[in-house]
Amino acid sequence: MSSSNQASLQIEHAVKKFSIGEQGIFTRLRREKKRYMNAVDDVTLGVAKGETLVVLGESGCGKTTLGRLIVGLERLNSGRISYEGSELKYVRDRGAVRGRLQMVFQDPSSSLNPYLNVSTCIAEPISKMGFRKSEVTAKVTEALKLVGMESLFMARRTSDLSGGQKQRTAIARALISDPTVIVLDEPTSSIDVSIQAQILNLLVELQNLRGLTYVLITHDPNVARFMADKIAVMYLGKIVEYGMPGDVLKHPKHPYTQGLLASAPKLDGSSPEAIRGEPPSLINLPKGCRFEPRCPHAMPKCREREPALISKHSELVACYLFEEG
Amino acid sequence: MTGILEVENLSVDYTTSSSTVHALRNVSLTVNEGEILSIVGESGSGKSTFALAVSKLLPPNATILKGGKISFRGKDLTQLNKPQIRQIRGTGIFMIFQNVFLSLNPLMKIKRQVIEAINVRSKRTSTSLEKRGPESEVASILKSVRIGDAEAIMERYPHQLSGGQNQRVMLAMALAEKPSLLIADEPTTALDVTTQAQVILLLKEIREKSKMSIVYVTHDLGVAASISDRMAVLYGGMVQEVGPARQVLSDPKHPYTLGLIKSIPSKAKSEGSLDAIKGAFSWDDVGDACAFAARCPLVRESCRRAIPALTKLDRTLVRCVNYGESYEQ
Amino acid sequence: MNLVRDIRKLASRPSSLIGLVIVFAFYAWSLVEGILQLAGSLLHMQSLGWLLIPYNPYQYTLANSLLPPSLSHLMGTDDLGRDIWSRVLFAAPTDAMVSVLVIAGGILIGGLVGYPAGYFGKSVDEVNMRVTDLFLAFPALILALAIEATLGRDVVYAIIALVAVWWPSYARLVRGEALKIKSMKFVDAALLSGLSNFAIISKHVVTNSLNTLISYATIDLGNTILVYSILSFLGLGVPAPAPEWGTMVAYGLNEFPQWWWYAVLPGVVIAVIVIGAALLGDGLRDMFAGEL
Repeated sequence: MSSSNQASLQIEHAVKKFSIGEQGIFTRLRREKKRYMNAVDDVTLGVAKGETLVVLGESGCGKTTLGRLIVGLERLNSGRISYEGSELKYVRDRGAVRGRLQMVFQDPSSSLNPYLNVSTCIAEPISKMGFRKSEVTAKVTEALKLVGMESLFMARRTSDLSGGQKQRTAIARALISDPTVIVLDEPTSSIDVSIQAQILNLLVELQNLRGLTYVLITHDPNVARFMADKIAVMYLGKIVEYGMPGDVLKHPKHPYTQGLLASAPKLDGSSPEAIRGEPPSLINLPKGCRFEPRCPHAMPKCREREPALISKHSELVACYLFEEG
Repeated sequence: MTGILEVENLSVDYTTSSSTVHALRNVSLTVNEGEILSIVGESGSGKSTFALAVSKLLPPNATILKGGKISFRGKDLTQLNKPQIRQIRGTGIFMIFQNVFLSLNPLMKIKRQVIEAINVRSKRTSTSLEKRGPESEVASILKSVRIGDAEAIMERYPHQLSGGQNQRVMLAMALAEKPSLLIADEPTTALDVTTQAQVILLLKEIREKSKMSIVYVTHDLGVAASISDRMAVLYGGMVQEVGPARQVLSDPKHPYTLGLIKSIPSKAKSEGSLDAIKGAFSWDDVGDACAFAARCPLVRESCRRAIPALTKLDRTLVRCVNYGESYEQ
Repeated sequence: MNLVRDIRKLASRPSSLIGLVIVFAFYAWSLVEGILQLAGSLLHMQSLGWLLIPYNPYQYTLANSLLPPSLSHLMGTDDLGRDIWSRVLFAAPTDAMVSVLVIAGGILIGGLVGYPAGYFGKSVDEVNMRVTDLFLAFPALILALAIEATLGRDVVYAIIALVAVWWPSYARLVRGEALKIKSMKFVDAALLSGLSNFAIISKHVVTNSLNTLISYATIDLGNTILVYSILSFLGLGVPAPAPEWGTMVAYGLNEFPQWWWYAVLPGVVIAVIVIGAALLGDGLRDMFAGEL
């Protein structure tokens, strides 16, 4: 992990629980015990300034929750997230630092209010900062230019835009408050492949231009390969592997990472290899390693105790196989 | 060799009070018996319209233009009326959609729906249900699509299952019905990569066992690559390239196909930016010239003269003036 | 909000066109006639109220009592010889006003209860929805009758009673919309921008629920007119001799079935408007859904 004094963003033992089941007045009166699931279960990560950390995983692994914790849309149950040394709180309690960390959401049709125009959407992050109207317009124009859109788009309704244009608008909105950290939650999953490449190029360009730090959440190993400086693979709320893209993608050590990469469809026409078993639920977690039920290399000790992240050769892997090898 | 599905000159328009959209134009494709044909395209390509048209599920404001023919085992589907269309499920076409509730009845237990599928097959092939009774047959079918705990799942309703499980239930129904033709419209788009892999492997297995033909509609080149025998690339409602999947992927002829392949990241950002196709699809480009011209790196004057016709190159058909200057009438 | 384009879309389908015409004709007429009646009473020139109407709605001629519909009396005359069609036209503004005020009141109170319930959830939701359920549990008419019985017979009290009965369904409707919209990512984005909850509800939640609200409220216009007519049929509307649709139907029943036009024709007018509002509301809903 990046050492603390280099890290712009530091996540330490972050835990986020969600309760399961309805909690009406009557169940509360009967004092039924609340059941929880840990969407994010003791995650520690650091992101250096100007770096892109890719969080790779499938749905339910907690990557989206982690992203929301970073920008403050969720409250931590325990642990600490800090930015340049100072602790980050829930979004409403962040004060000035709120503008420093922004988010681009997955589905631009859902992240832009379809009844508002582009300019209003983009200006929203600075709408409460006391700028004059002329200043706001100037900033919106600049943000549009940064994402390669002409200012004629300002008056358009967002529902009239194409998928790519919508995502560019969302990126412009994330840029307008001059952030240093942007969390991107599957930013290209809901748009056409041919536009996806444009958006990825744009993101890299912006990063080089403004020295942005990215936390990019994705399930697509190809996107990870292109964008990442570091990759963290998540499974059921925990990090199972962390390292440089060359190591994690070309020589994956954790059996889940291996399975994930093998099941991704490839252009050479080879059949994907499926991980056996069902995707797990967070509700009934096994005592030992969470991947053990589906792991082709499971050993008896895997069922007993959860492996911690073991560090070796600048990589981190949560697997007993790694410590022996 | 006539295929099990032959589509000739299919054109579909959508009309509203303010506009008419030419979703498909002059699409001709053949699916042979036991073959998997993938239809690859992005938004505006018309691929979903194609799946809906062949499944006879087009919305009321869609019109199939005159001259188009969709023949399944020689019978022209465009000439059928409603009661005859209901026979289609009995004649062996089965559809799976991304939206599970287009194929699964949310008000019926899984068990009942699978039994229904079995009955359809029995009626069609005049075989009677196995002696051991429908429930155990349902269980064995569900198990064959790797649904764990089949007995419990049988008693549930679709909304109680996950997306992946529902997709596999639909595959189970496909197995039960043993259709000769399966139309699958983006069936794995909403699924996890690992579940998607299972579904892809299952489909290939089913195809091996029962010689089922599949029309697989997707925007994901990788998925198309791992499953198809032949691949058709659609853009602006027209077929731009069609041929054996291996050939289309390793030696793409059409600039759009090539651009799509290059859009998939295969390197790190430090090695340079991605070769993106410039611009975006627009309905304004759908007219009397090549729809891709506005974005094409190899565009020439002749591209805007008229719509290029499909040229045969080896076993592939390409619609591009760079391979032969002939035009549609 | 391109009005011309939307009207064209509605006009493209026969049923919604009919609905549009009926509703527009009803409210346009009521507006004009209402202004005339108001001006008339302010200027003490009552006759302004029937400037545009064939006959003076109050004028009775016993010799003409209970004449069947004809070219000179489109809907016939009542037991006092008054022209029914004129009375129908004269009474229209009352129903128009009642429908608009009741819906507006319903939306206002329902919105105040329902939007926070859906948006904040948890205890706000529970409390608000239990209150809503309480009001919903009362049969509408009985509650309205009870309120009016306490307060007195007048249009104003009828409106109050109807609003009390109407707001719960709006609270439910709006709560559902708020729940749906709350999960949209632009609400998260607004949170990230530091908007207050009130700002988020007004800027994002309300705007996205307008379509559903408008289609529902349009159909509801017909419902309010119907229920108000029932109230006045039961004697709780504007007192005689002022014309009132529901009251006319009530009186007309005395002459039924031989002089059927007295009871039936005003009822037909009510039915036409209710159907028209429903057709228009349906058309609006489909138009917002992009089907037209």
